[in-house]
Amino acid sequence: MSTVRVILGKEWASSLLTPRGLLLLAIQVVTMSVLAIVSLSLPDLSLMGQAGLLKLLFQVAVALAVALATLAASLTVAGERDQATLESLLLAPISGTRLLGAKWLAAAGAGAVHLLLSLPYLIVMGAGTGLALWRVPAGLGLALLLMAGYTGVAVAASTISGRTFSALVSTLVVAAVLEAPGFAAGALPKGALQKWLATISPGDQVMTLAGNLLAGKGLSGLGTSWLTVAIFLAAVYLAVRYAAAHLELMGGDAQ
Amino acid sequence: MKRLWALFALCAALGGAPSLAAAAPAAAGVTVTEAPPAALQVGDSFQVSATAPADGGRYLLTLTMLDLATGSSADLEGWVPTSVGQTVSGAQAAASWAGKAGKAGHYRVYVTAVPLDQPGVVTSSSPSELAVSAAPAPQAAPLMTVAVGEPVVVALAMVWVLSRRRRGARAGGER
Repeated sequence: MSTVRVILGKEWASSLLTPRGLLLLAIQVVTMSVLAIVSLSLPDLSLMGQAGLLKLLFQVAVALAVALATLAASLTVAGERDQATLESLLLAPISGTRLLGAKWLAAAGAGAVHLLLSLPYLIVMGAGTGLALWRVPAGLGLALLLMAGYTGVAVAASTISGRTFSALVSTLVVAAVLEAPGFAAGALPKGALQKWLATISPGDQVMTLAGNLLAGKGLSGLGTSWLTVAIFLAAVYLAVRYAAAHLELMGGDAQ
Repeated sequence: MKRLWALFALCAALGGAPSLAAAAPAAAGVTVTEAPPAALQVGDSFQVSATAPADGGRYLLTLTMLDLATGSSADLEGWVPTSVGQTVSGAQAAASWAGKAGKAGHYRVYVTAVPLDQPGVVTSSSPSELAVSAAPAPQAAPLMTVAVGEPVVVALAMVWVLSRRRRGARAGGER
């Protein structure tokens, strides 16, 4: 079995099959359950309509899954350093890029499990709206792009900052800087500035793409959204490459 | 010849009277320029626009959404039901209301213009009929099954994993 596969399996197991990983999954599931029960019991929410509720539940599921998976990913390398297991990992016959790639893939995969656990809620909420139900998993598939981006940011921050707390803070800062324009755009009246602010926010653009799917529309004519997401993922990939070079240097220092 | 003139006068009276009758209320009345759609679902947004009488005076324009089942004015979601319309430099003032259909039922929607500057005639627009049907609601039974069942499954998985880890740690300790 290749070293990458071994690391991938170990990371995957530590992301999901540890008390911490299971607790994060439980947070996702319990939050979704509470929201689903509230959506049935609060009459004011009926004003949103079932399609509006589906969209709200989808956004919460994605935001929560990305946040929890990012939180776990920001502990990967920094956590190994804190537990003094990083040096032995660096002695493995594998390049830093592959090592971080395996950690990134495992973190994004754990995030995909979070999204997968939200799928039954969304399917049931979407039933009866006339929406083709394949659009729900397809929307979650688009959310995986955001998941991949932010877990990559977290892995890079975890490697570069080296400590768990600073990794967490730096990931939060990056997320806030990237997503704040999208939130600001939501508060502004429609106009050129509002459109521009929304455009530079990857979360907003992924939600636009997924929202179109959930509204029964196509994905054509959303070139700007695709471009924003592509630039975000390319920047994250470069950040992970940079962090991998940093990891090799740190490994050399440690030896 | 007299018969011919009489026929001509009759034709003029029949043809001319309706056009005069139609022109009169448009000059003095309130006109709905954007009526709500005839059928909506609860939660759907809609807009109503109206213009005040074009006589240079100030008017309070009030939108009424009358619930035909109860005979009372419906509580409208998300709008202020009154607006002051005023004719400025010859242009006719307009007011519009945007809101959401909050409750299923049959409604009659009309706009009333009350003159503010001097006593005058209160005028109302022609009413529009609006039928609001209930929006499709989430299916309670399957949603509750998932909302209760999935946390139970995850909790059982947690117990299983933790017990396996504990058993593994104990076996390692014994060795």
